[in-house]
Amino acid sequence: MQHYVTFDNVVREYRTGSVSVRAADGVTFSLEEGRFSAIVGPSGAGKSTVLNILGGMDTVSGGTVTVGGRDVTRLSRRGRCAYRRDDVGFVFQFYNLIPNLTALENVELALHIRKNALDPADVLRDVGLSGRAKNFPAQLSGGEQQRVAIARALAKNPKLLLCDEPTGALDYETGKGILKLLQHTCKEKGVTVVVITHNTAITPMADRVVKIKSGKVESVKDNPSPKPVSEIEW
Amino acid sequence: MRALWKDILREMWVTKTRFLSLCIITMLGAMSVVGIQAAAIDMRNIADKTYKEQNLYDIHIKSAVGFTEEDVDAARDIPGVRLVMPTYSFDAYTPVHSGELATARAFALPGQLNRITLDSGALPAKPDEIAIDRRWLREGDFALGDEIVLEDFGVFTITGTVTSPFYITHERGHTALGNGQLRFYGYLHPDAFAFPVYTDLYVLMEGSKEMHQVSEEYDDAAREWKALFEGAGRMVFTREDGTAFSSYHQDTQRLQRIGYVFPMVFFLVAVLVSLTTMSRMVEEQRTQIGVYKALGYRPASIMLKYAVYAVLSGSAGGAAGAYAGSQAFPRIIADAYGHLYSMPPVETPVPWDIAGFAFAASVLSVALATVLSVANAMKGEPAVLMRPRAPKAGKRVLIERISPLWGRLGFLGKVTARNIFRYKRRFLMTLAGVAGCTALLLTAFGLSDSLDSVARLHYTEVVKYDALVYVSGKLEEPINDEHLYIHEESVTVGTVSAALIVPERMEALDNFISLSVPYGGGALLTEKLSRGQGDTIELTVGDNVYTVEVSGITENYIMHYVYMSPGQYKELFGREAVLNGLFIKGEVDAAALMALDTVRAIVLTENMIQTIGDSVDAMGVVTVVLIVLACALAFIVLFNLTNINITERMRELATIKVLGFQDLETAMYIYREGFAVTLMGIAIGLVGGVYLERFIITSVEIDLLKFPTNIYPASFILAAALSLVFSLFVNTVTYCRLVKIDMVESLKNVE
Repeated sequence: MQHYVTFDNVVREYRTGSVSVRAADGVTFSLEEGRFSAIVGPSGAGKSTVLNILGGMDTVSGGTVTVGGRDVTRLSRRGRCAYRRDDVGFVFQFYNLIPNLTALENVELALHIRKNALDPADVLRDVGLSGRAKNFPAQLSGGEQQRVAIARALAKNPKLLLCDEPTGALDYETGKGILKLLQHTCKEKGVTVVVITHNTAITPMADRVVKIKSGKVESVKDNPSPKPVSEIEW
Repeated sequence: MRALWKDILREMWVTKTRFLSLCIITMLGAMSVVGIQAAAIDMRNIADKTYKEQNLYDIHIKSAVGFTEEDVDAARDIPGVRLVMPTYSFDAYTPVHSGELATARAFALPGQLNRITLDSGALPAKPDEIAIDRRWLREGDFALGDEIVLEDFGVFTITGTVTSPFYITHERGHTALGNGQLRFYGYLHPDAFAFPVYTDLYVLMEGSKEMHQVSEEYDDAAREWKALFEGAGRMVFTREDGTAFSSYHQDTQRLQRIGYVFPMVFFLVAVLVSLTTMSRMVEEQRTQIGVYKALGYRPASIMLKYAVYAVLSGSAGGAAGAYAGSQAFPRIIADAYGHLYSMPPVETPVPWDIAGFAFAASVLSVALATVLSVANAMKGEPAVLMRPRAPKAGKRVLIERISPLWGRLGFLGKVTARNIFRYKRRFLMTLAGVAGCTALLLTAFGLSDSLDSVARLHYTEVVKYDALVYVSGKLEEPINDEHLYIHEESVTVGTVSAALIVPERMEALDNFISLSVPYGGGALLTEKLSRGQGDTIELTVGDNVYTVEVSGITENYIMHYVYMSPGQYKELFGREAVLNGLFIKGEVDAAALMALDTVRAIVLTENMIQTIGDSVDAMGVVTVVLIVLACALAFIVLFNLTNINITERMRELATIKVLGFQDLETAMYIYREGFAVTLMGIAIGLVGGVYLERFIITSVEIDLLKFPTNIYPASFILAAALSLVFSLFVNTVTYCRLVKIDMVESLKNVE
């Protein structure tokens, strides 16, 4: 199995006035295609920076990031946008659905920008929400909204699904349901899923766990036999 | 207190775009209120100052037989007379270098009244010297020291050039010589006039100098004075009878009336926009307001910060606008009228009353908008306020229920439709802003169209004759062209002066003056004259009042007329109508006509069109000023509202950017709404503009003119196109903000 994602000595410096902060300070790791990976660490450790760079939402100050053999750090502004559009699906902690669009229409947004998008109704059914297709986000529960967000990300048929604290705003049971959906998506559809979390309790479900601390990779561990979500408790 | 000031200053710095746009909006409002008014006032004041410096006459009396010393004394004895200046003038032919004979009027150098200005050279010191007007020097191709011949009078050496206070336009009035048009004038030493009697009396009245010379008060007084001198077969004129003086007065009046109405609409739009802007600011600071409330601050203390912010922006904008308006507008506008009237450059003191009013209105409107917004925001409990407001829930809109229409809309079309109705308030504000600006633009264009149409309509639709010839009786020579003899006489209807026209053959009148209705006995009135009159009218001639039945009303744009048949005239006044005028159609050989003894003066229709056209041109500059103002307002309104739209929906925009919308797609996602609203606003504005223009036209109408309220199709297109261009321009400017949206930062915030 080849390395699908590689971070090689990635540095990201933020400058505010005369103060500069290194959010990523020589991050190096790799992730495998079609697997479920978790990037964990305390808040402020730099995991979001890693995700933003991986998702083409941020640039690097040094080092290289390759995805599927392509160096994404060399992409232009427009190239990064195309990369986000074609290769990456995002799931956020706070869902970020468009409030003025129904569940189905939120998923249809993907259709609008991607040629080989999946059928929105099918994807919505896969996340178990066909019954709420015509509801607006405000009429959905947090878990339902997150499912719509996942459906919106999946409808683009991405190679990478990046999730930033996807259960952070949800209760225990609902959170478990979302994780189960993500694990299922990875196993059944072969999508490379990367989850960022400060909750180390969910690491047993991942194929690979990257621990980040103070802008550096502390450890990279593989789980030979990841546990199903239902067996994990926190 | 120091902390509060620091907070306010910091707030101003952080939100400098908002602060500036508030300043600019109020500035534009104040500018439009002060500027146009100030222009009218300054133009009137410079005329007042000039007339007073010149010691300009109040009453001018002329007589064919002249005035003896006894006549002068008799005039001095009339109560209210302060000073009588007897003097001489005569009209003569003068050959110019091309060999042609021009008409010129020679005045005697004035005494105390009607002071002239020496432009170059010296005044005549001997009886064989003359100072002439610059046109004479230029068109006659003369130099100082050359000799000029005044036929039947003598030869004179040119000593200098002068400007007479009588001629403030290029119009020189009528003469009994040549084609009836006076071309030049000059001043001779009084000793050059070896006349047995004086030809003119100029009178200065008691109390005249204490009045503003360009005012209703003066005009009313002048009419009363005139009555004192009338009778005895002499011609008595006030300044109002000199067309140049009265048209100057009317132009400033028209300007002032535009200055009343136009800025009102301006102010309304400005207040609407500042309300939106301030409520957005308060919305952004909800949490902070909640914290203050939770800490136990009284509402007034919380309000203070926003009130100070508002008052600062309102007063900065108001003061700047009032000052700039009072300085720039009068100069620009007076300069435009300078092509029409020779007046010294205007002085531009700040008109404190109007400037103060505009300043107060600016501050109050912004402050009021703020207080309302803050009061509204503070209604909630602190706990609720501290939590950020949930984003507006999506809702189905009405048109979704019209499935044939909804089905036809593309995906983005649906999003646009729903968003428009989601932000109803901003939608309405943008609509009102765009509609207001489009209406203002259309009004400005329409104003110039109307002015343009006055002369065109009057001299093509109403007046069909090519010349009006004043005669002392029927001409001996046959006239080949189609013609009609008339009797013309000045009458007063109520307080309005009008010309009574009695054609020799009533049935032929329609060939020369287009009548809207056939004559059916009694008197036929022109449209504006008929306003406020009943079935009968009272005609005042001298001291007598005659009552006559009104049989119809006819269309007319310039001056007032009463038409009557010779039979009706005889029945009413008990005398025959004496023919003293003649309408002629066709090529008029003015010089040949003037050579006839019976012809006294000729008024060519084409000359009248020219004169009015010049006045319209000057008004065009005012229109341009209004258009520039409206454009600036349109820009700032759209800029502000688009900015608010982007700020409020930062998160939504960041989300679609993360999804992979390219910059242009992101922009179109939000601009489509703006564009749709702009189109709707333009449509409403065009309709509203028609009414606004009608309203303004009615209020700027001066006594003698009736403005048609038609707007040319090109003006509609132009007004709509300009609004659209502004919308596009604003989108281009705000596009940079969209491109710069930081996805990471925008999505970080808790919802």
